[in-house]
Amino acid sequence: MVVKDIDKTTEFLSRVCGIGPWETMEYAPTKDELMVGEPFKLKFAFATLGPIVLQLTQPLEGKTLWSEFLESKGEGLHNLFYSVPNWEEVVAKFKEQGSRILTGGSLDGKRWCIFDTRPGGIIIELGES
Amino acid sequence: MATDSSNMALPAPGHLGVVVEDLDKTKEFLSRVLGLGPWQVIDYAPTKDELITGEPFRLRLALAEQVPLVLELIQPLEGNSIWSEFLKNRGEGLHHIAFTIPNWDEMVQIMEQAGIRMAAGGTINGKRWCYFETSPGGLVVEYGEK
Repeated sequence: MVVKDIDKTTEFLSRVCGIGPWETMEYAPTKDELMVGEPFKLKFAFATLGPIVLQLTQPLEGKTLWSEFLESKGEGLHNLFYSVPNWEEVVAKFKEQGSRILTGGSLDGKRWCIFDTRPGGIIIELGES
Repeated sequence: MATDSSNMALPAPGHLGVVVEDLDKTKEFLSRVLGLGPWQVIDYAPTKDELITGEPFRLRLALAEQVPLVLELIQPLEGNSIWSEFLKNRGEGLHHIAFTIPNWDEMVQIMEQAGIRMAAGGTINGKRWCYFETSPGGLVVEYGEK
């Protein structure tokens, strides 16, 4: 999910839906760590929700996929995340099908990238496991 | 407001809902590229009596038993609904997380006490369901009665 204010959102979701506890972190990759685009800074919060993890993303600095989503659509569910062992193969398959890489980089040496898939409009993030 | 959070932790989500323009094309794409499926397709057209709020509408749903969560595609067919509004305002994409809960009345009441209005609601096969468009954060939550 992309949100405007992580603290307010985690407080609300904890109080009203019983979701949490939350773990937060900041992510500010360097230019070298990005596959495309300019550096940015994000804040994340994670909570376990049964078999999935709910991730909140608050854009802090830079013009990014997430800040543009917030500007054009507002807050809400943004993407699905899949961690895959055969990252390159899956990425190649997505590209062959005409899906476009919106952004990508690495985090702790693991690659990640985000695709806009059509039809259906599901934004899918693929992380290297 | 003081609430006892020990009573209100949600169970694991039941499904993720995606609003789409064309269910058949999306289903074909997700099957081919992601290997999702098989799909169960349902038309849902509740009568006015079956709705808790709002006017009748018609939807087509496709459900895939995807690990770890069921994926639900929703194509609005008729009527002005939260799904048709979503498509108009935001375009296709992820829409909601659904939870099937035994304490439906209690969870609905907690949401309403927190100032969140029910955006849509009705019954299907005698079980109640409803949607809340929550803020801050913008999470759309569906509560289904277990």
